Amino acid sequence: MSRTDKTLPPRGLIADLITPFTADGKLDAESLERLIRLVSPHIHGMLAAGPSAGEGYALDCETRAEIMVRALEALEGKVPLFVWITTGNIEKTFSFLETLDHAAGTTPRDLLYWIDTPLYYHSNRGLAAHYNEASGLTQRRLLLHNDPELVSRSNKLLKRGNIRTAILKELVQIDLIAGLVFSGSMDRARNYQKACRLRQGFRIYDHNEGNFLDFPSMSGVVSIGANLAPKPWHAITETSLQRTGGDTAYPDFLHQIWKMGRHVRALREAYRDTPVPVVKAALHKMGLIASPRTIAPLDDDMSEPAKRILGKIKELESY
Amino acid sequence: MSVETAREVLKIEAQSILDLAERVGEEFERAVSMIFSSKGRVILTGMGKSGLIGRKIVATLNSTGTPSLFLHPAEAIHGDLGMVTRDDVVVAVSNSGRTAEINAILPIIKSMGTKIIALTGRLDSPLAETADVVIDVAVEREACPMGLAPTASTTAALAMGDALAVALIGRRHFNLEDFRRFHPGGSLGDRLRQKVKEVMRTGDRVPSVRTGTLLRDALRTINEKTLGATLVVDWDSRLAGIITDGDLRRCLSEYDRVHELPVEKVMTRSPRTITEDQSTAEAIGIMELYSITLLAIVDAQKKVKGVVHLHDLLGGEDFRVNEQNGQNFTTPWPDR
Repeated sequence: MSRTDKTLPPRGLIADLITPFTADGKLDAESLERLIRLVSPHIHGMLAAGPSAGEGYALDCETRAEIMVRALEALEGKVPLFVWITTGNIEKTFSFLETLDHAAGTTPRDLLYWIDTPLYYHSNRGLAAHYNEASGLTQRRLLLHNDPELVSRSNKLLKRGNIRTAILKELVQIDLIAGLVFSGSMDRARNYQKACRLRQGFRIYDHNEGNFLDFPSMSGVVSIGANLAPKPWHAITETSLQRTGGDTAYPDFLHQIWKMGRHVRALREAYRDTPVPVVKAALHKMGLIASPRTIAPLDDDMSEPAKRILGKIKELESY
Repeated sequence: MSVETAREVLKIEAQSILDLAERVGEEFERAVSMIFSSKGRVILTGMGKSGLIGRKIVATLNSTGTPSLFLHPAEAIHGDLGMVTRDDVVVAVSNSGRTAEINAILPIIKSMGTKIIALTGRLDSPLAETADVVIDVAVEREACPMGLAPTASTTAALAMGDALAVALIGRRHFNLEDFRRFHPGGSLGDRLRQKVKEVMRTGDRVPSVRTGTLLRDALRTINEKTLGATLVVDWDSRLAGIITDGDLRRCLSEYDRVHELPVEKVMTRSPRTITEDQSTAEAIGIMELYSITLLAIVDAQKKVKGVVHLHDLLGGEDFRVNEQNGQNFTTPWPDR
């Protein structure tokens, strides 16, 4: 048996990319590519059109496909891309999957993965059969996304916001499914870990940056903060996953990471409550995206939090 | 708050070990076989916290009958590699599998023909690629922020080290006495430092009969003294021989009317002896070497001073536990 499976999703920092829009609400492709080129040297993977940072819940199939194609181009095959395929119902999700798969063309399998939040449009019952059916639509691997908060915002009247552990145990047997992007309690994280333990190489990424900073998952983190401070997030992820081994001046290095971690936590506090608008406003102020526009209309002025973020980033730049 | 954190940390670490229990398999079996069949020692190596874990595994292996030692990877580069021989098995502990100091010495160890077992959390690491056997000790989550200190991963490696040591005990049929032998700080250690004269049986407690005695009477002595044997002495109390249960079995198959036989016909001449000033450890060594349980204690003129039984050396209570378990007193490394 080969000890290295190249088709496994990467361990490490997965940037949860924001989707830049022009002032009139269209996809700002130029800003998107600029941001990707700036972030990509410091990450191990990228999530595009994601449900939270990427505002994917409001993006149609064509826009997601455009984001995917442009992101693949800008990433130049250096790190894999994860694309969110979920919609409000099964048929549409399958249709998105087929369209995106077609648009991806001959992109190598290890450079493109799908992410799906099943409970956004489907109940726990019959999920295994659902994914067996999905296996016939794509050759690429898929990561599950568990996010009770996102599910609670869907229009469906579903009893559960979390994938049931027993169901997950069935799902990890399906070859199509290669990992899980997880939001939720630490107790649930442990139960999921138990459910997945027999599938070697199965990835469980933290989608909650706070959980990762406290008790890092060895698969990595899907981070919106990586849009703002990719380099510090990269350093912290590398240390957390012990990818650097013993090749650093250990005590000094750890001291630096400790200080950097404090600043990254402070930065996170500044955008935690309304991440997308604040991050976008900060990126706009930094001149990286043309407009801070978000899909949901904003009641509050984001210039103050954005200013705070710029101050925190300045502190981080010293590392 | 602190208690909550503590609970979380403990749950994460416990989970990391439970996960290993599910994954442990063929590679582990290969590692145990590799160590068991090697003619050399087990050499643990690791840097930092992994080094500390390596040292603990060394201590556990040594305590349980697997000769082992620790090699510091940085010192290895400066000459300590000389302690590694072709017959040894090197166990390298590194969660990342990318520890520069370890990866620097592995090619040299490999070129010597020494087998390498990796305890690593990364199956795609240089260490895993180089090793002959890779034991997966990956954990899903660390319990310390930002990897400032490895926590669950070192716990997992430590537990796997214990698993290796205990599995080797099973292979070697390592028993209670073997274990105590390697723990001289305990009561057995005290006992082993004593002289034979401090524990030997003397006077009426010594089973002995004169030459010329009939076997019928010798049997009575054997039964009365309950040591499963009797010494045979001449008129001057010099040792002439010994009659054990084995001698009795042999004579029963050879003679019809055994009770009327003189003891000289049955006894083993020149039995194993020891002097009263020798140590109890030496007495045990002789018993082990010749698979016997009773030694005669004699002086320079071969006059009998007493006897010592294995029970006297190990402590009666301990030995009874051993007998109940149906274990024999065996050498610690029967296959070496």
